Amino acid sequence: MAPLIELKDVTKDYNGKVRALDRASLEIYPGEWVAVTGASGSGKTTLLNMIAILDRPTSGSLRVDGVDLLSLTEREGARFRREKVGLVFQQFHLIPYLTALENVMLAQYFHSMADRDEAAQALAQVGLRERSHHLPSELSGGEQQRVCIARALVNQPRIILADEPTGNLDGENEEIIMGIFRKLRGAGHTLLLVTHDPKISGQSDRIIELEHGKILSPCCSAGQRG
Amino acid sequence: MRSLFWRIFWASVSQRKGRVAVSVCAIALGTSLVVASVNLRQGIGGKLAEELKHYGANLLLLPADGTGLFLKEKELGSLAGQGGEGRLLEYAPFLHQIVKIRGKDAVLVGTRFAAVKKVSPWWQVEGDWPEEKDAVLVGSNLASKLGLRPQARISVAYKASRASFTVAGVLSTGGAEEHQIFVDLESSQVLTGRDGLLSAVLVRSRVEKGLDGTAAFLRRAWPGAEVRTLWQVARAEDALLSRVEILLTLVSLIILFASGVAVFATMSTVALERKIEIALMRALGAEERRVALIFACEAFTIGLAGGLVGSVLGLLFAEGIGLTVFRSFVIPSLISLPAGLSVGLGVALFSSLSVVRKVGRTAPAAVLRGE
Amino acid sequence: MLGRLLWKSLWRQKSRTLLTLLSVGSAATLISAFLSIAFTITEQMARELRSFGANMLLVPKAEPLEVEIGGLKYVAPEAAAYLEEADLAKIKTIFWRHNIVSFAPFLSRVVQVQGKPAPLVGTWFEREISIPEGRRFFTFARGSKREAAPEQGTFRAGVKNLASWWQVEGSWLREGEDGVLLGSAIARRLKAGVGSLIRLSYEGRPALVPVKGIVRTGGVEEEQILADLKFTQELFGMPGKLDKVQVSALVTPDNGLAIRANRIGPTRLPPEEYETWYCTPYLGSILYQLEEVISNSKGKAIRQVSEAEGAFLAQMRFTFVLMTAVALLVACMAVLATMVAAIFERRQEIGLMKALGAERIQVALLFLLESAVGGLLGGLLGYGAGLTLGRFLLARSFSTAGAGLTLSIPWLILPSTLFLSVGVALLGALFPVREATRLDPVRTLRGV
Repeated sequence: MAPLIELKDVTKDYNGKVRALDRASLEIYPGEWVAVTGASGSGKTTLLNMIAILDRPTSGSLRVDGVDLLSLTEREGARFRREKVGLVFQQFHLIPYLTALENVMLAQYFHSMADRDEAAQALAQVGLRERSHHLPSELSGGEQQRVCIARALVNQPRIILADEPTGNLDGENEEIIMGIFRKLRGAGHTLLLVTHDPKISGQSDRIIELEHGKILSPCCSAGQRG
Repeated sequence: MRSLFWRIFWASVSQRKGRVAVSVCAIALGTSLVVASVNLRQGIGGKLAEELKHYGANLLLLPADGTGLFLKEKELGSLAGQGGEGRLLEYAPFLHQIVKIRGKDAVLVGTRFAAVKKVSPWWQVEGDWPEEKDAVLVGSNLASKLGLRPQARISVAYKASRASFTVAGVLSTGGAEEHQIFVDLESSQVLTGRDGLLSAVLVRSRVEKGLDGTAAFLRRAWPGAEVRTLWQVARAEDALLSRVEILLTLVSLIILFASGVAVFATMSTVALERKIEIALMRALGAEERRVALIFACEAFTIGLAGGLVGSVLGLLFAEGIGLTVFRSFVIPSLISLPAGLSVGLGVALFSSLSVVRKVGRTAPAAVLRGE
Repeated sequence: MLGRLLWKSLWRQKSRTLLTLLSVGSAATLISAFLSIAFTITEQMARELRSFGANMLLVPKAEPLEVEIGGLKYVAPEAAAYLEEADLAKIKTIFWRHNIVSFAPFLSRVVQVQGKPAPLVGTWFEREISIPEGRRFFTFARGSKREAAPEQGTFRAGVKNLASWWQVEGSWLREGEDGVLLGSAIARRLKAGVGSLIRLSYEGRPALVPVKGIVRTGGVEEEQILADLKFTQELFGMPGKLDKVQVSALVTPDNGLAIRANRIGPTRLPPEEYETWYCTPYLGSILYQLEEVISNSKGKAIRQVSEAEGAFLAQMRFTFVLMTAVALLVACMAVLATMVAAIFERRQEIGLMKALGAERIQVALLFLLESAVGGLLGGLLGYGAGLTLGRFLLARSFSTAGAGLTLSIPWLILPSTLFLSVGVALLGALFPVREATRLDPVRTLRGV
């Protein structure tokens, strides 16, 4: 089977000085749940941003679903994101003046067209059916993160990229969120999850460890997954 | 899909009342300044031109060569019927004659005092302006030579006829009038036997109609008169008006520029706050064009609201200045409204779109990180 | 620590700092440009108008009665009284000599031209005189001593500078040149043009002179024959004599003191007031000083010119003062809006500081200081820009700018501009800082 995500010698320098990613190579196959771990500043978030082309590498090549991401224009990049990727942020990044439902619908709106029922269903999937008309400021941190996940999955993307999704949450909320991720994986989404928490990375199929921008265990080929 | 667009729009405006208010305020203020200055530029030029009436007459009518020594009063009266009232602000007729007063030669001038007051507003009278037909104004030099003071009685002789008058006031002007004596026009006509005749007419024309046009009108309407432009007054007025116009134009331009910059600064500050929002939309896969559309729509509404409020405010400013300085309303200039609105809209759109553009040029990741 | 925080915050958030500077700067530009225009415009206009006719007239104390209609004298003056030409240079020695823009002497009599009477007027068209050397001091009753504004070199007098509205076809007369200019009305009557010869006679003394130019003014000059002063003095047999002198001088509008001096006479003023009056360029005090140097003379204001000018300029200044006030108000509001917006944006920062245990006053101090620095910098930038702009505008609008601007008082504009910019920036910061510091830190942190 061809890899869904394929990085080859991807390097990212910031301001020509700080090297956030150093010749990172990596293959991820459809349906995999991959955890990216490493110390703070090891380049985990940078790696994620590269795959969503929220940022562009300094050198190397990057293919997702057979598409060379580096050849995409800004517009094509945006199109790639809305069609293929669902993003979950550590700081949630919900629009403060829109309700939970509207925040979810926003992703639909950019994708194709807003569908209230589908958006409500996505919220129901994360257990927030009752809170869909609340503003983010009226929701708890865990609830906000769940809105964020609902927004990420409402367009049924093949890939879900999550950056420390439980980083700002307590144990109870963490468990709820992880439950959602398990369900997503079951539904066939490919998951890439950045975390520094071994308890969370432990639930994945495969762990990629980063240190000073280098991938320590390039390993664990597709064979491991069977 | 449309409906979500409007929901976003509405939510962003209604949930961010403080910021929207600040933006509308800034735009309203900028626009008001522009509208006020455009109105003043248009209106005040004219108002200041009216103030030039202090300079007195700018045209002089004399008997034309070869038509005798006098003008006919009747023809002066018929000017108004030929469309003169639109062009002539005021005119004063004069009839000059050398007479004898207490054995001395002096120039007697018949005129209408009410008109003279307006044509020569600088005349300074010690005593009173004449009200009765037999009251006169005596030039200060003549008065001192003859030892005349207000209330004195004098007898004026022309050839065989005589008349006696009461001195109402003594006149100082710094000019030739100080050597003359002024009486009511009819009295002088009766005394000199020149019924219905004039020797000169001083005319104050309306500046805004153009002096050359008025002179041409008078030549057409009154062929028996030679029309002379009093260049001292005309040139001084030209100089003043053109300076005032240039200055007001330049001032309007500065105001336009400075208020544009100030409003731009405010709007950008408000929009900068939404950098993350813009980056997020882009991370969710929105093209810059669509983000721009959302922001432009909002900016348009804010710009329109601010522009309208500002236009009204600006008009009020202009009328306030007009009323305080000139005690009359400034006629609103038609272009001030589109000018004001386009400044409001333009700046609002420009500032919010420039922020969208600026965010668009950096990688969303960097913005979301909070850089 | 405060300084460090201040610097970091201003430097790190460059675009925000820049926007604040832009807003304050443009407002300050507006304010200082308007103030500088409002302060100097009347002066500029007045200077400009000085070439549109004299505002003062000097005549012999025993001014003879003129029997004249439309510039044509009908009767010769019965008792002759004259001014002396030799006194003219002294006009540039009076206390306010610097304010004398121009002057011209006149001597006129009726002559016979082609058998008809016509006025012949002698004057200076353009004459360079040297200003008497040496410093002049004026002592006053209280023993105080003042030096007149120094002036050196030569001075250009004559009607050419006094009467810029004269339209001359042909050429002006040069100093000492034989020949005459004819008023257009008399030229038409005599059927004379540029280059023709006309024959004059005064009391039987004939003269044959070429016509050098035709003058069109619309005024009494249209009926006159104009010649060089020396020529007329010789023809009339009155060497060194003058009938009158027209003077154009820059004056200050009359105030209470000037009005009182005009009413009771300057010599009856108390010594201190007299000194103030004498050392202020009122129309009255300049006339008084002219009477002092021109022997046997009487000064008169040409009211048409002086009054009209005063009225117009007062109106104009009032307009600009009001426009300045409006611009001031609006500029302040715009700065206020920017400051409010800038601090609104940073409510989370304020919340964080409070969460870290900062006192309200400490937080407020930082933000207010930041605004003050922004206001000060923006104000300075705007002051420079505004002054340059004001200068530029006046230069574009007036041909005489530059000379006049040095007389103005731009130093007053600096403190007022800075005061306003800093004051408004602080005011703009005060409201949102107060709001934000009052809020519960947790709520601001969550971005409510």
